[in-house]
Amino acid sequence: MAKLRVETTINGEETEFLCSGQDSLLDVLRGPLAMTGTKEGCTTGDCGACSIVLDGRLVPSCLVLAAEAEGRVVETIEGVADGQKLTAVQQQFLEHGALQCGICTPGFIIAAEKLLEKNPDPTEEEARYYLAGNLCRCTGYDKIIRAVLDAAAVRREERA
Amino acid sequence: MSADTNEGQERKFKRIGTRPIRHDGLDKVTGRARFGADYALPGMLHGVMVRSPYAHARILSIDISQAEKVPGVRAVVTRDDFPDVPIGWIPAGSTGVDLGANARTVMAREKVLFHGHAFAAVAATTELAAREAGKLIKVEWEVLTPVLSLEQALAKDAPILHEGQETKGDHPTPEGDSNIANQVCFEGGDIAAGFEEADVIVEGHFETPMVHQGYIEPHACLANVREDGTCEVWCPTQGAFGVKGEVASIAGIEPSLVKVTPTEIGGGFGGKIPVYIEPVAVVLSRKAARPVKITMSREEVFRGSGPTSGSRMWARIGAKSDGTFVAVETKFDFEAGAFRGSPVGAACMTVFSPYNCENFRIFGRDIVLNKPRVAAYRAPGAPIGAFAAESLIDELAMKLDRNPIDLRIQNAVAEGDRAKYGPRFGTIGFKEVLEATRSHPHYKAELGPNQGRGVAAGFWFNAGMQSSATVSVNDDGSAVVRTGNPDIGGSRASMALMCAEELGVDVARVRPLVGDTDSVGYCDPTGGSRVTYATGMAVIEATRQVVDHLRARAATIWDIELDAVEWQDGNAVAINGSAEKGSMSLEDIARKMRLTGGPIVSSASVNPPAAGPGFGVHVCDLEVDPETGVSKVIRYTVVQDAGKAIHPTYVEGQYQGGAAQGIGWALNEEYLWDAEGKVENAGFLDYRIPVASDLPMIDTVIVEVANPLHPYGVRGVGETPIVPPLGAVANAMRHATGIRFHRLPMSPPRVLDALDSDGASS
Amino acid sequence: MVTVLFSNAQSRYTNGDTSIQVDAKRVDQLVRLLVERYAELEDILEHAAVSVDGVIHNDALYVPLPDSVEVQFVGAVAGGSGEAVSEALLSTSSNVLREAQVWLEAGRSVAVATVIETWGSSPCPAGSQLIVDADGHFEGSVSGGCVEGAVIEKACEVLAQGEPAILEFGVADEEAWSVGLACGGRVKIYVEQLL
Repeated sequence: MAKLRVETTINGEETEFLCSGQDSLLDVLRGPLAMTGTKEGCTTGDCGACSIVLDGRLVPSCLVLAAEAEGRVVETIEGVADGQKLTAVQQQFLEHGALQCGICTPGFIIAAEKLLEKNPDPTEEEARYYLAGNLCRCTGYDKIIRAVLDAAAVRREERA
Repeated sequence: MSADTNEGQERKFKRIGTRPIRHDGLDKVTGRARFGADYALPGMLHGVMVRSPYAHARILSIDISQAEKVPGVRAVVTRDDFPDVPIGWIPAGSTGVDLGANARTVMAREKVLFHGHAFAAVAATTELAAREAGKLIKVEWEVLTPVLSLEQALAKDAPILHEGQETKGDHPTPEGDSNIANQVCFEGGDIAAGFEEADVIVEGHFETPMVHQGYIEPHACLANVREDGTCEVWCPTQGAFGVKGEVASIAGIEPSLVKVTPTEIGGGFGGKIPVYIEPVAVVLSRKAARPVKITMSREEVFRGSGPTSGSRMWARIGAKSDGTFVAVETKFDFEAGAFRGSPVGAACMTVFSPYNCENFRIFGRDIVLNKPRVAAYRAPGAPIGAFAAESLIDELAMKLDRNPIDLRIQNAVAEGDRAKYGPRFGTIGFKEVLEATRSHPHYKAELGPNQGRGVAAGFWFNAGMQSSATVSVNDDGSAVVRTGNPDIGGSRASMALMCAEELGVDVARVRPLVGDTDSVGYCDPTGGSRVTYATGMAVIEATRQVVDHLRARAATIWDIELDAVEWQDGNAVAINGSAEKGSMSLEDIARKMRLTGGPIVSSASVNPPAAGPGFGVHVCDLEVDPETGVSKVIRYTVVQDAGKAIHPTYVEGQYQGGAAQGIGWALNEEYLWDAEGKVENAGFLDYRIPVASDLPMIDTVIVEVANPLHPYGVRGVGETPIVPPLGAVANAMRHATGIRFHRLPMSPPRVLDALDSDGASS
Repeated sequence: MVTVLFSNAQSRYTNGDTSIQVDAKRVDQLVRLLVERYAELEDILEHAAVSVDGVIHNDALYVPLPDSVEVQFVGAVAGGSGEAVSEALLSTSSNVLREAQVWLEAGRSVAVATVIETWGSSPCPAGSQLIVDADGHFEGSVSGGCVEGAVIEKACEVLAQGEPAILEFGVADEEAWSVGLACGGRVKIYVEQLL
């Protein structure tokens, strides 16, 4: 069967790729586009490691067909930092040691950025529930939540 | 190397104990870090494992002819492509390995022994083609009755998994073929007299389910066999040298022809020490003459990797009315899965060893059955035994109306006391940890309705084993420290800290690297809570040699004797009669390396004894909703002896991570099986590990009772944190609901049942 | 002098002795003396870790024993081991010729088949060996199992006739169609009687 041609925007760059009808967006990001920052943990939408933003919405890319990216705006972990400048979330993850093995980190950062965009001053409980779709097996979530709450404070200060 | 006994306690550290940002952190928060599945080579094929639909069956024949014809398929392999490695334990010093069992776990030979057991593999230009080909492999099966529980395995006419397997270990052993692979027994004193003497006896049966380490990154590997038979493997692993040996024996290649590069690893917890796909990728690559990449799906991870044992246990404690333990006894049955090797031995060694008791009989059995072959899971066996022991100690405390921490302090082992497995304890911190717990604010916090508090203790031995390190000085005075231990929890930052401490420089001036099997000296795997201790020791020794070289170079430049040069905080300092020469920085010496003898590079390797136990005590406050059976952990504290915390953030991280795994094990995690032995919940939706909204902040207290065996006093910390939580949570449940749970997990439906039946079903 | 403590399980092999004094300065010397005294302990002692005053050594053979220490033989404290595999591999591969020596000393006639050349993929590299006696008993391996049978047959012929033989298996070889080198490689094997 012939491949489909998809035109989309990824991290601000116009991109096109070929895919089959059954490829997921995760497959295409990690395969032909060689953007391996987005991780595969389960392919059933349960672990959050594949989190990306699609048209401004937080989604698991393993449950999005690659063809669905046509004409839409995709944001991945590779596009989070502003050039050489880390975001507050990325910086706080480093300062707090909010990663041990690091496999869940890209997914958490994408999700946390989205959380703080929607809710600049979350409570601990709000942060925990928003991030409940991202699994971590190493940290017990303590330092991740602290990093996110501190990042929120840093962002509020920067905007003040 | 000899360690300075008191150095750990007395030395003032400048960098040890600080919290620098880890060197690999930038790459991990930007997505640049490359994990196993992130590697690719030109011309790469996709390899797929083909797995058994039966839990127990003999393979009569395999026909791959149709599969080979699928367009895109370049190689199909079965047992015929692998050497027949005989089954049998081969001792290697005080450890050993069963190469034949390892080979058959990776690729079934005579039989498939669990649902999902791989019996073939396909490499093709697309994953889809490989999977389609897999479906066309025709197998003639002789389906056998599966053995799916400990009861079934032990029944009188139980089907035998391995003909000719006789029970090893302590007498009396059953006659003839058996599913009981091994028996282990530690005895001391006279338990009959001990229980006679007891004023109070508490006993109970306990059951725990098979659970998985739950690493978020599935197994993955890339293999390339070259035209001359040499081969390269990239994979996430806890031990690249182990992979090298396993690939060599299972794929039938000389070890010297194999190079393994450990990629970044997304969690291991013991489950990424064995190999499951690497030898298959190598054999496929050899047959297809192209690189082959295999990744496991999440489902395959649950079905085809190595969880830890389910168990059935019985235990009892006898004590005097003043609380002194006088007799303890256990009977443990642990699931080994398809081949012998459950951690029942370690469970028996750890179970009551934190407490003095002269009269004991600790007995355990290792039992094979048609489930995945178990692998190590963080302090293997110890959490399971501790669940039974710590639950019973809690019962005893209630019966004697004693504070549970005080009761433990009264019986706690200290230096010079004997472990149940024989040796006397050296310098340990159990009492210190108990005291610190008792005075922690958590212990005094008020509890509300439907809330209960549980306390439990535990420890892990912490291994020594072999490690190598190389330190080299760059001409700008920065340094590189190279070891062979994959970093699963922040260890490379600790290596850099120890090197920086000895050199007297900022940790940012030291770059830590984890090397492949060709570029570093041998290192035993990252596991056993050994890396900061043993590999750290090698790093310190190598760095001290570098410092000696730096002093010698300064002496040359100044034209004075070596013993007139001291190393102080990153500088060579002339002393005594030569003091007027002043000092010279590391940078200055480095810039002149070429003139004073050439590059400065030193290596060191160690094989130290076991690090010595690290004890932990956990306090858990649980709130149970009587209408839904849902429990919430509202407060949790981990107090643990680290000896010396090199990078406190990552020590805290180990405490919190281990506690979270234990909480999941206690409250929700279990393998669910159908009647044919197929795992029903082979995914993260239904195999429910803790999520962020399940847990509170986990408070940690790092106690430091210096370990005299390490120059800085380091003890291992990685495994102890998973030992107490099962007991702590079960004890909290007891105090929240009035019900003692003997079976894990204490999931909402089970809690509701128990509440409805007044505890009869727990 | 050091004190050696035996566990209950070990004391079954020491006539019930649970604690003895031995004059030994190093673990290997201690093990020799213990085995002289309690022959049945040999296997246990060879494969135990050693605790010296509570410090547990996995690889203890040359560990010194200071005066008055307490020694026990216990289970290893390990965290997964890579070298166990390498060591096991070495012990299995070098065993073949040692085994042949044992057979010869027992009066059996022994043939040895050696892989002398390989092409393409072949499970056993050049140098791999298989030994066979006149009754067809064999140890070792020269292939992934696929041509073993033919090699053993040939080895028995060699023992009967005395002349060495060269066997070649590969896709091009007509005889091999029936044997079928599954891996798709070719292999040349030299079979001779060991004298």
